[in-house]
Order: sequence, then C-alpha cells, then structure tokens
Amino acid sequence: MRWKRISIEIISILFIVLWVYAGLSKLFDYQNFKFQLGRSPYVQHMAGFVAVALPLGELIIAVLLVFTRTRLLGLYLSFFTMLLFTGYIYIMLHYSYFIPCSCGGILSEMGWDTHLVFNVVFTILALVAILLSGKLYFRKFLPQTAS
Amino acid sequence: MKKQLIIIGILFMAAAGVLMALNLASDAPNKGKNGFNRKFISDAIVSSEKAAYKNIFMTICGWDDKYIYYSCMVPGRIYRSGYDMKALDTLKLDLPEIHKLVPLFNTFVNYPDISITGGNARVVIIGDLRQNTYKAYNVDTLFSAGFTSGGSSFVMKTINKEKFYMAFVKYDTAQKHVSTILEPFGDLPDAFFNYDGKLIYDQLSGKYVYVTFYGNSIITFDTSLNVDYRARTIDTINNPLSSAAHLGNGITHGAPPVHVNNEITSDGKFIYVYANLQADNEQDDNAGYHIDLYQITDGQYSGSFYLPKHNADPLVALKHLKGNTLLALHKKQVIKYTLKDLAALSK
Repeated sequence: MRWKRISIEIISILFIVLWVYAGLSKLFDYQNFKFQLGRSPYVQHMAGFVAVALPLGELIIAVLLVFTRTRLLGLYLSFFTMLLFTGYIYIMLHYSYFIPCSCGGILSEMGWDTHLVFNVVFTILALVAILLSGKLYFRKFLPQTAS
Repeated sequence: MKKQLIIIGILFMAAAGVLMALNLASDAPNKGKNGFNRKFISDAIVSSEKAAYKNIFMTICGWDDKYIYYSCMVPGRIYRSGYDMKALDTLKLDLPEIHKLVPLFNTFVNYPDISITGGNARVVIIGDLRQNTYKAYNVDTLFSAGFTSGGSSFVMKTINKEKFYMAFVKYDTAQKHVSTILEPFGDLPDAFFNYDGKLIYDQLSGKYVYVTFYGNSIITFDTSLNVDYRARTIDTINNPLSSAAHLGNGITHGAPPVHVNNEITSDGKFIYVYANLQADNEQDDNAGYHIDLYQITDGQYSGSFYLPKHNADPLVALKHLKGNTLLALHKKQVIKYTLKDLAALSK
C-alpha cells in the first residue's frame, strides 16, 4: 500500500526534524537548559543527567528514523518519548506546585497548554505510523520464534 | 498487529511508571508531616453565593458600602458589582498612555480615589473615578508593589539593586522623594526573592501587613514604616523554601519554590492567610483551602477554617469586605461567603 508507506515516511520526516531541532537547541544552550531543569519540581535532582541524556537520546532517535531497517524502532521510541513529554506536561499543569519553562527553541514560545496540544498531536502521529507499519522491521533485535 | 498493540501497551505502562516515579520523588509539600496543628473554628461559613458573572478579573481591588471593585489585565478598565453579585458595570478610565505598565501593575480603589502603581513602568497614577481624571508620576526607584495610605505618599516594596536585598520605602510622588526606608530582613542578600510575599494595607486599622510566601514571617508596620510587630505563621518553615539564581542582568528562582502562604486579606481585627501546608491533625488534603486567622494587633494565631474547593478551579485571590463577608476569586468564578461573627476570637 503506497499511501501507507508515504504516510509513514512523512511522519518519520516530521519526527526527524522535531528531534534534531529539539536535541541540538538543548545542546547548544546546555547551561540554560540544565538550569531550567533544575527548576522543575520533578527532575530537579536529576537535572545534570537529563540535560545530557535527553538531547542525545533525541538525536539518536532521529538517526534511527533515517534508516528503513531501524525506522520502526525509532517510531516506537518516538511514541514512548512523546508519551513521557505529554504526561510530564499534563502533571506539570495539573499537579505541580511550580511551573518553569524548560523547552527548546521555537517550542519555548508556546504556552504550556499549546505545548500539551502539540505533544498530543505528535504522540498520535507516532502511534498512527506504528500501526500503519504492518510488520516488525527489527526482527533481528527480537528472539526468533517459529511462525 | 497484535504484537504491535502489546508493545504499545507496554510502552504506555512504562511511561506511566516513569511519571509516577518522578511524582513520588518530587519535593512537593504535604507529602509528610509538617510539624504543626490547626485549631478549627466550627461552622465558620454561614452561607455562600456564587456570582452570576464569570471571573474575567485579575484581582479584587477595592470595596465600599455599596460596591465591589475588580481589576483586570487592562489597566484602563475596572469592573464594579453590587453585593448581590448579579450585574457587572465596566468603568473605563481615561488613563495616560504609559509604556510597560502591563503586566506588572496594582490597582487600589478607595472610591472615589484610585491609584495604579506600575513596577516595570516605574509610575504611579493617582486619579478620581468620579471626575475620570488621572495624573501619572514617574518614580525613580524600582519597585514591585505599592499602596497608598492616602494623599500622595505610597509605601512600596523595592530592592537594593547592588545587593538584592528587600526594602519597603515611603515614596512621596509630589516631592519625588523617598522619605523612609525599612529593611525588614536586614541586609540578607537575595531577600527580595527568598522573602517575597504579599503586602496589603488594612484600611480599618491603618496598618500595612506583609506575609512571606516561602517562609512563616508576618510583619506589620504603620504608614511611617515603624514596625509594629513581627510574628510567625503556624507552620514551622523558618527558612524560606526558595533559592535565588542570578542570570546576567536578572534574578530568578534557582529551584522550585514551595509556597507556604499564598494570599492574605484582613478585616481590621484579623489577618486571613490562605496557607498551603497541611497540619498534622488534618487527614484529608482535599478538605478545602486552609484559611488561618491571626490577630492583627499582635499576630497571634486564632484559629482556622476551610474554604471549599470547587472542581479544580483554583483559588487565586481573597478579600474581606464589609461585615462578615469574604470574597473568593477563583480562576473561573467568584464566590461570596458570609462568615459567622468571629469577634469572640479577637482580643
């Protein structure tokens, strides 16, 4: 199904752009990003680790999405990461006792509510791409089972 | 497809698990015992009434015998409602154009007088609502909150820019002159941030009342900035749960600050403090908003009651009006409470 393949590729390109932009902007503004994480009630004690691991993780996911063999793994990781980000924003908006800003680049211009909507949309896009994929591309990463 | 759905389900649960772990590991207040008890006043609220209008306001900026006045994000507009809370009048103010007045400004109505202080704009506007005339005065000191006690003098919360410690000043707009300075926390650096709080003027007692957000300090002083007394709120947080960080030209929170006290109001006899921390003798952290009462004469704790919570619509402002009326501004609605006579609690 050609439309499925094109849809998956478009969604993958969107995520590649998103992860590269978010990852690089956090790395280029590392000190400020780390400082902002230190003001988050939920990650303040891990700010140093998250400030390095998160942008590197985003760039690794972008690389995985580039290649067909690892694309589905990249989509699963994109879905998981977007779930985390979406859930984090939700608990910040509804349960947090303090709301700072620790976003990257153009996303820092968004308010928290807009950011939540943006994240939900991208989470759904990742889910759609996974469901459209139809087969597991990374069989080599899983134990072989009798079909 | 089945395997994909299983993996999606596993990822969903893993993400939920991570978020739950982050929530458990956070330093949110009220996770453990706070080391104090509350003394509850039985049946403090006699009745309540919801306003017919929605909340479109920034805060409650004044009241008199007939009306309640609200400010909004537009400095040139205030709203007025009768105590029946049914209709809302819009009062448009012919203010002079002031650069950077929004968003940091305070409006204070003592009809027909009105004053608007703008911290970023460094301006004070004094006006007459009956005549709809206003005059702006430039202020040559940095400040974040200011109130008039009458005439052309204002008491303002300001900052020593070199050392970042807090001061209250009495500023005469006509003379353009700071006449008195009070440094309530001495020369503690970063006190402007760490000892940040709410300043109000109690018209009935003629006192200024200041309660810190991140610690348990109460300070009252008169219009000449003579300290009346220093007291403590009932929680046990002596040192501010906040830290300041200096960034370039600015200063901001270096770690997530924990609000101990949120909002205050007064009625000439009591200071009402909307407090955040749960007492050890409270079981249900959703029972309501804690309102703690302190004698305005000496800051002694007199008792507490709850204001009801309303479906995740947070309480943002409080104002004690005439008689036993307490007005609560939530994010989406305004509620008027009639309290029982608390005079027996006052000394």
